[in-house]
Amino acid sequence: MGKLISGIGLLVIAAFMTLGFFGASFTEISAAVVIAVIIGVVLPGIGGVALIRAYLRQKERLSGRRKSLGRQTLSSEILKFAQRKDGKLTTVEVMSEFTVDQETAQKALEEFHSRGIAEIELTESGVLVYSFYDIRHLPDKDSSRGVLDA
Amino acid sequence: MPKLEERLPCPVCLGVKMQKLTFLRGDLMIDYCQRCGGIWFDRGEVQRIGKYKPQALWRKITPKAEAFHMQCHDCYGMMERNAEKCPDCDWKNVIDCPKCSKPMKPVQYQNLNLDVCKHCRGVWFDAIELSEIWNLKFDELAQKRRSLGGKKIADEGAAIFLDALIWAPDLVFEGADAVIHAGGSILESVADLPIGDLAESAVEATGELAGNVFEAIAEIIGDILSDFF
Repeated sequence: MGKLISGIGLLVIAAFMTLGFFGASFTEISAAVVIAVIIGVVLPGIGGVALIRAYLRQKERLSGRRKSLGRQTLSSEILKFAQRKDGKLTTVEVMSEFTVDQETAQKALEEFHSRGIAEIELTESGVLVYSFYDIRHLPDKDSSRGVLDA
Repeated sequence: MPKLEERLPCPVCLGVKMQKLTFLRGDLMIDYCQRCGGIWFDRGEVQRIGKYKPQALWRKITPKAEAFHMQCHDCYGMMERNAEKCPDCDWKNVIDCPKCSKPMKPVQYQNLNLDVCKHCRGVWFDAIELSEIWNLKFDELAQKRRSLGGKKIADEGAAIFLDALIWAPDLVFEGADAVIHAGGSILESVADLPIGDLAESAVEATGELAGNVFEAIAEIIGDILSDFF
């Protein structure tokens, strides 16, 4: 927010100085006038635009980061949900549990599949089921042994 | 066909939608995040809580100890929920209103850090703030009950229960909450035992406590909003 306020402030200064220059009666455009315009109008104007652009970029970046964190959180919750459902989920179950649309649910489950966390299975009636191998075998973890002993 | 209320996203967790807790046949609807334990109070909602038995409301709410931390919305590192900035990336800890998506104003009210939306006048209570209010009201109730002193067995039972919890202040919120959640079954299972009175009075005490907590929340929201508008 500081960047936005500073940027707007600099643009206001630039606009004010521009009005001042238009109101002034110069007989000739000397080097001093050009320098004064650069210092009074151009530099604050460029600074103001740069600050506002930086603010907007930062806002956009944060919005993207928030969306990404939202996806991560949803993934984590889906994994917890899969644990409660014995390691198997359908798109409809995810949609109803998390109140997300079909596309979001499908995308989240597909991502687990593409990362090798879930396998796709089909029921006899043709329902697509995402099966989480690690979650289904969680009870076996007590019997784990060293790699060389296994 | 009844109008379906849209589930709001949790402003802290992001990505998960809050659960709608409906009371008074839909007259009162509270948004509660099952993940972090925070509650969103829409404008005017707290006033309606007075009509409802708060003990029943607390049965649906589970405190979360781990919710006192959150993931930074910028660098995803873990940080204290009430920290002003993320210690790793300096992200200013400002969360967006779940209703209008505009940044909420962090407000300090006594020892509580709350988030208020100036546009839709809703207030966000984190689990940590709810437990702070709970503990504060618990202390007040414990003092009040002690000063009454042994008039009824039920009161003595409550006093024992409160004394037991006072030795473990960190567990007060969870402990009292556990009694509320398990209250019915405790009463059923121990009805013939001498500790029946204790369970009954503990449930009674926590019911009173829950009522005090909601009164306190209503007062806090009233004060904050009157300062703003």
